[in-house]
Amino acid sequence: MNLAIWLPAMFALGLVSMGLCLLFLYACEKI
Amino acid sequence: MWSLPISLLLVTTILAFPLSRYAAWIMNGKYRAPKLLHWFEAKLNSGPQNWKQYAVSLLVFNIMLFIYGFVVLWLQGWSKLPMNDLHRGMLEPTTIFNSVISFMTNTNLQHYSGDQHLSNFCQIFFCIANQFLSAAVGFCALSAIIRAFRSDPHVGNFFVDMWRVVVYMFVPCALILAVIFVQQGSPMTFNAANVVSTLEPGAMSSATSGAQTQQTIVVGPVAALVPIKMLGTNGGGFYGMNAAHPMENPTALTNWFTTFAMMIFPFTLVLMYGRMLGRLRHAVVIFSVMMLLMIGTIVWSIYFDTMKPNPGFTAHTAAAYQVPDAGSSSGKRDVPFPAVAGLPVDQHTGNLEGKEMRFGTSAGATFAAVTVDVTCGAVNCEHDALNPVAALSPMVGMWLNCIYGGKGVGMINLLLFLIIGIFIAGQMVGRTPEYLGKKIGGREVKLALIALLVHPIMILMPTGLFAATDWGNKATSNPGPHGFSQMLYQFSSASANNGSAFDGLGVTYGLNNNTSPSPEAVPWDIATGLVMLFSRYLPIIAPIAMAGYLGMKKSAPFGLGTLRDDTFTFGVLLLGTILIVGALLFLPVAALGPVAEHFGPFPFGG
Repeated sequence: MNLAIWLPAMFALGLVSMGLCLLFLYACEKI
Repeated sequence: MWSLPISLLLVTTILAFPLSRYAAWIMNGKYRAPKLLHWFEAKLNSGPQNWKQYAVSLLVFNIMLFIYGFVVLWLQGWSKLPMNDLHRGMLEPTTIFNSVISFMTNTNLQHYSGDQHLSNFCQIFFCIANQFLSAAVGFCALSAIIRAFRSDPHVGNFFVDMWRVVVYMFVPCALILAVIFVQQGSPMTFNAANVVSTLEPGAMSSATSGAQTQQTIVVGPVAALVPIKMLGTNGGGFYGMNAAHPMENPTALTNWFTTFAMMIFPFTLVLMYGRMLGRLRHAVVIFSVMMLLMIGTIVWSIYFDTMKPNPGFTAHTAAAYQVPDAGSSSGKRDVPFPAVAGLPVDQHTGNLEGKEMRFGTSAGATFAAVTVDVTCGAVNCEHDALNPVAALSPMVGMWLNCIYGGKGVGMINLLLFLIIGIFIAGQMVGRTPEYLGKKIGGREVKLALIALLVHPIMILMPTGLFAATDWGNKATSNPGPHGFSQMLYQFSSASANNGSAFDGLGVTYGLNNNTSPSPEAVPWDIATGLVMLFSRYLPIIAPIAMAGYLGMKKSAPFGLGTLRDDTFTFGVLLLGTILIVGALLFLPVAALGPVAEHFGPFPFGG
């Protein structure tokens, strides 16, 4: 596995997913 | 056979009452902390928070946990890190992703084997650390919801709540249990392994020089990890075999305490909910509904697995299977085998495949039912070897996800069913639905339904996707419905933040330098990682928002027409809502997996 691609990609995927959860929180406010 | 589950349910229920009083005392802040602890608490207190600030703090804390866990696992192979005497290298990136999310979300789904792939440094600073902190997150979320329901001016401070749960609840209980585990024989050392000569000469083979190969037995701070693994309903074991391993769960006594430990806090928090609201009778009704469901799953599991034989034996008629044969014209020859039913195999103790006999015959089935009900995920038997219909019990526990459930989140999940049930009841009698004196409006119902639907969507959609592609079909190790059950169980476990599995699914990559990983490990790592993450946080955020909005409403006076929430009728309404909604969501997929396996051809043949 190309670590230079996969490690940052997995790190970014986790952070982006948590960011989506934050967006969901703000969406709950709008309901 | 029945003494184990009966003693567990009785003792845990009895102890839950005083422990819930203590928990409510702590979470209401009525205690007086010693000076040093008070100093720490004051430093953590960033001030009173409303529901939104609380939820943001929760998410930001978990983002920090993700970054911390990722760095620790990434650096495992770094030579400067201590406690890596067995020179474990770095895990593969998708395994790191999956493992970090897994421990951060209290799931502890392990696409690796602790004794093969982790150093003691990571067991302590990644596993144990996450097990304390992730367990406290659900606890804190429930506390915030309770304060919102009480219409308190603020829902508390997330960081203070985390401190209270970890320092005043988990640490003392874990210390007591750790002493018991050490006394019973669990290893407690910073050493990495003991190298021993086996009793049977040559059991580990011999070197070319004729010298016998010694056995390397991995050890570490097992007795420090197991208590919080169970108390925090984490489930992630030190060893790959988890609670079936003789050093992680040495005796029948440790098995009893292991099971008790994962039950006590989920039981306690239901009663703590009632105490903090000043409505203990209401909590007892909820507790009773959950107890009925838990007894149902335990009895189902024991009856179909311990009291019924393995259908693979009883149904197997005389047949033949083909093996390669270079000497025959077709390249194959038939090997006949007789009807297994006629063989002298005693099955009066039920299905013993995959069971640890030192615990007794029903221990595996009991543990399987309890571990999924409380979303722990530790296993003391092989769930893949459960009889097909018995395997429905753990699946149902995960699908409903509210039979006590994890500490805090189980009660939160039940509140979703409760809100929906009250709403439906209100529609049926033509009254505005009310809960705790507050009118339930469209916004609350929408939030409850969104939170409720995340779980089935996160199970059914990926299961369907993987079942229709090679990602799933090439990873299963059993044909037909059992293979489907393996995939279904994996996603159910991830979504319920349970962490147990039908092992046999090829999802392990492990170390980055693994030359023969499971071919479909990468998609499984990523898919289950995302399922765990979204299924953890969305059903926490939406209920906190729902409670926040409900708490802001004015209380309506109690009247003759108000639906009472502390009666037998309310309990029946709640139970009916859970069963009907759960059945509608999951009966079709149950028919495709364990039910089809039970009625169709058994796993050994076509």
